[in-house]
Amino acid sequence: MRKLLPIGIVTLAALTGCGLESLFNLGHQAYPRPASKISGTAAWQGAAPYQFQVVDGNGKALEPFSLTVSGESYLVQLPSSNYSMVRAQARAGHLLLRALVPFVGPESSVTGVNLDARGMTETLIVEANLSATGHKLALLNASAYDDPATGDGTRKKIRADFDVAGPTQDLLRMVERIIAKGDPLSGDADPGFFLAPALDAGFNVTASPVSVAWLVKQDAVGNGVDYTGDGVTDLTTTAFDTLLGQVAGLYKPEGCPDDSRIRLVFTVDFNQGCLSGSCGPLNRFLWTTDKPGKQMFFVGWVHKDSDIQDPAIGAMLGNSVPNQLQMYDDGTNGDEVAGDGVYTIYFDVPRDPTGVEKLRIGYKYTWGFKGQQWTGSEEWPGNSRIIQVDDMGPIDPITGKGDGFVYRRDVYQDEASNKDLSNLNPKGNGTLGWDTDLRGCGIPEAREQMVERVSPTDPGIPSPGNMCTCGTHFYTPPNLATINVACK
Amino acid sequence: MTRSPLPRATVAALLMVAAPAARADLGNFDLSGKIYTKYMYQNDNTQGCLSMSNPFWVDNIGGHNGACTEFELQIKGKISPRVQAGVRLQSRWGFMWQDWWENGDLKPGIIDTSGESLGMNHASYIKLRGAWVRMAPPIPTVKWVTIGSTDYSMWNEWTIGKARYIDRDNGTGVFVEGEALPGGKLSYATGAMALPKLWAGPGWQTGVSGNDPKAALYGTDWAFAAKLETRPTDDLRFKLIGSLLQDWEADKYSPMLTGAPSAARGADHSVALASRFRGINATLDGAWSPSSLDWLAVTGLVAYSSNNVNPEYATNMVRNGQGFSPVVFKTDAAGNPVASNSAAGKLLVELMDPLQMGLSAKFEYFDIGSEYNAVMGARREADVLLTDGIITGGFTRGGQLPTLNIANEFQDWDEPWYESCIGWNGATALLEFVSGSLKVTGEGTIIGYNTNAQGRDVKNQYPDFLYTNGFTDTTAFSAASDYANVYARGKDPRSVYAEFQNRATYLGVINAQYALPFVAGATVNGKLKYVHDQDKRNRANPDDNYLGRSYLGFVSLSLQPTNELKTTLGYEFTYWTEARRVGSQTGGYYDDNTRRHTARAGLTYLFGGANLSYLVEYFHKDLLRDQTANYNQVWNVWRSKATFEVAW
Repeated sequence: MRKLLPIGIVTLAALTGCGLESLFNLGHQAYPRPASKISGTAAWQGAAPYQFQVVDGNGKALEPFSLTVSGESYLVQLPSSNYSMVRAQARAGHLLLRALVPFVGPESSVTGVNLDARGMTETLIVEANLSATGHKLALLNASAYDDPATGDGTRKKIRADFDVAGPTQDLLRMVERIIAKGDPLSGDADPGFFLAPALDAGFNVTASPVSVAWLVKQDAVGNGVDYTGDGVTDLTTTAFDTLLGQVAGLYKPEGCPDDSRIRLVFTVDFNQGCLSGSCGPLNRFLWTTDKPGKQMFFVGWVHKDSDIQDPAIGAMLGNSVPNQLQMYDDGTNGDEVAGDGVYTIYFDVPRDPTGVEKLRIGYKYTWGFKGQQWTGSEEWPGNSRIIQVDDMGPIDPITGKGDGFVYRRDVYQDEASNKDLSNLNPKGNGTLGWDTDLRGCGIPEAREQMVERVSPTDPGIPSPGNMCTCGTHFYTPPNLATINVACK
Repeated sequence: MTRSPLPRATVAALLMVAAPAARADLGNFDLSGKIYTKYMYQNDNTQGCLSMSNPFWVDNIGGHNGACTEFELQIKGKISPRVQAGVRLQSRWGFMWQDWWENGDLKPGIIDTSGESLGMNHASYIKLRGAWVRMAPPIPTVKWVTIGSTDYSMWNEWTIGKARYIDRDNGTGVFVEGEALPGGKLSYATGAMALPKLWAGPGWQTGVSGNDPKAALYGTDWAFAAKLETRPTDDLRFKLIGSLLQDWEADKYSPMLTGAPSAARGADHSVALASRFRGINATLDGAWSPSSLDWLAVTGLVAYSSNNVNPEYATNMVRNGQGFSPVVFKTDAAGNPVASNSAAGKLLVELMDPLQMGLSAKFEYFDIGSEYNAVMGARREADVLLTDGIITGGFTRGGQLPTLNIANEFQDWDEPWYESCIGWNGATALLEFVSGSLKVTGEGTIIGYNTNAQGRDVKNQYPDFLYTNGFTDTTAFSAASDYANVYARGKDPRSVYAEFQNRATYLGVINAQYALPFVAGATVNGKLKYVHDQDKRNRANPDDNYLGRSYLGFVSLSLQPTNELKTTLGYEFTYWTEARRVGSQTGGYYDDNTRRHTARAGLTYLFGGANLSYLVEYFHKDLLRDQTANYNQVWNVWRSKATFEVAW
């Protein structure tokens, strides 16, 4: 043994620094995958098998990496991220139940998302309202629906109304009676309730969430459904639908407009063949070096000419540090079409409701690596783009207010549009002032632009690669909601 | 009297500055150099000086027409009586005589007249290929501590195998050798070796993000090995070797990597490691050579391997790489990843002319588990079994190795080929008769397969290397298309698993060597070989029943007209009949017949430290296939290879 000791000591000493330290990890238990967790209970008891899903505001199923079902409890783990206005839903036999989850953040949990009558009724009210008003669940501002800071919002109102006599409570009772008749083990191919309702603009239900066929079938087997509670079996959905339409009209799930902020959207077209602001050819890589792995970044700052000088806004815009704020071309974060070469980023900035104090911003786009310096990544050396944050439109003819967006579509490396100095547009003198109408479109160049509209009803699409001609109307991005807050 | 323009003090100072600094004693330097030149010709449209290059990524090194030169400089130093060091500087292979302009700038996809298109690997730059320091510190039991380059030859083929020649000093590590008990009673060696990132792990890499999106860390990866060797008596020797391959990745869910460095999240400015791959191999081998029976030698080995892949960090190449994977991605019945474990053993009894009549015999039994896999075992240039094996031919040498990581690449057409013997279970009897200038050996081998199975999961767990049947044609194998088996070259030598396998192989070999008594230096070599390889693959499908018969005849004549010159002339005939060689369960199976004539002539000329060799070969091959399924193919290939080497 005395001989073996030095062997061990010498070997250990000689091998130190050769990966031995890493062997301390041999006992390491892998960290759990960070998750956004949603948990709750289902309305039925026991071990009835059911299909569980979490769907986003567009109805698209999200892919959890873990789903645990134990008795009537469930826990679903989504990849850690921000999720807003999603729905947990489960299907078993006759039942298709849903519950709204206004928001779950990265590495956080939302509990009590119960697939019961209260959760289902709230969801039905919101779905019915959105169907009637044309709003999209995916675009609802979660904090406008359920403000986590104050607890205010539509959710609070609905839930409060569940507990006081009135139409909302009546609807809840109907839902309770219907659920009570559901058989999670029925094995039916189609659910008897609750399908997504459809309503017209007058809040009239055009597609009921309850199946008439199911009501009739229940009656035929001697287990009729009296959802109105009047002692008479209901064979139609009329009463339910009428009440649903009435209740849906009582609430504003989208919240109320926030006049103190405006949503500032920058998009940049990086496609080859785009035209400059003077309708001339462009070379995207005149100043920028292209390399594999580069990404599009936005960098902005509060301009020295701005009335509003707020360091927080500067920080939000990137404080003149290039290649920090990544833009999106993946169909998320306001980007409209994934992979179309048009990159998007947006900011919610404060505005003066009186319009007296102007917010003016300087900015640029960079095609670079994260953290790269200016050289080789910026559109051009020196100078910058400028924009005054005015909501030019479209103007609501009733309120006289804009749409809550300032939307800018730029073409990468375009030195003939809103570039402040050494502007190459021959219609100008090389210098762009805040109110210079460079292209003769009737509005200053350093503003939200107008875009083309194919037909009077067309929402308008910025012309691909061509922002040099004057548009006809201001653009409201379809993939972004206005900044709403919880109604008081 | 003239006065110096400089004051004395200044002169003294200048003299001190000008005086030579401590200089190295040239006697401590040992310099050696080598120039190696290779010429290749083949009647095809490739260019370069390497028959078969990278099998996976297309490179611009491989090709058959050209002349290339490399230079090597070795410097060894004797720092002190107990400390030595050495380096090897070598020019990069790939420079062609026809392209002496190449400056190393790469123009991907462009070959123009600028002299800057092919990249550094054609610019013959000098690269540090090996560096080592060896010392013998006065520490009890320690004989040597080596830091730096190694060829891994201190372990064995079943654990960490000796690196192939071209990688002979690419590996690096720290090694301690010592003797715990004097007289060879107990000696030991330990080593920690940087894990080669390009082949020693799942997907032939240890965390290269461009290849495996699940992995990115290779600087943390090491292999560890230890050896204990004892000779309790003069007749008996035992050797115990164990190795651990550890491929780490950053635990991707370490709080520092998944969000803000907030203590509330558990982030602590450290990143934990998660295992991507862990391979354990161990062998115990012994040799008994009784001094009282000097005609008897018995050697045996038992081995164990355990390979554990973490699919969270290693892309499953069985599923996503068309079945090409050097490791098994094993799962339990619930689909959870588990380690792939297996044992192996072999026993060799040698009787060396016990009857004093020139007749010797060797008997070997081998049983290699169906999942034994030495991921970092010998990849080529070694042989663990006595048998001639299936893959070898007349001109083609080779061997069997217990790994899926065999490397039949970066080699020329005249070099040996290796096949995997994972799962082999059988025995070899080899008789050798020597009488005067005649030597004859006869071998009989029977091989069963522990890998035989019905419905084996080759889609998710067991790599089948896509091509599981047919004799491998090593002669016609070319890098251009045969890595993808475009020319029906038979099974991949690494393919040991198949969805349906019920295989048995019998082979017989006779080798004869006769030194012609009437011509000085003349030797005639002959070889006859028959392989009967039957795989009744799918028991439920009588049509899925492979039967391959290989007949080989080979003869060569070596002459040595002068002390410097040696010539050889040889001919090989190969004929394969293979029933149900190609096809599918649904489409049926078809027969192939292969006939190949190969003639080769060569010479070597050794003179004054210069070494010239030249080899020219012609082969004609007919691949006769079932006309209802495929067209026939013909090869008429001329090729040659010359090397010239001087070392000083």
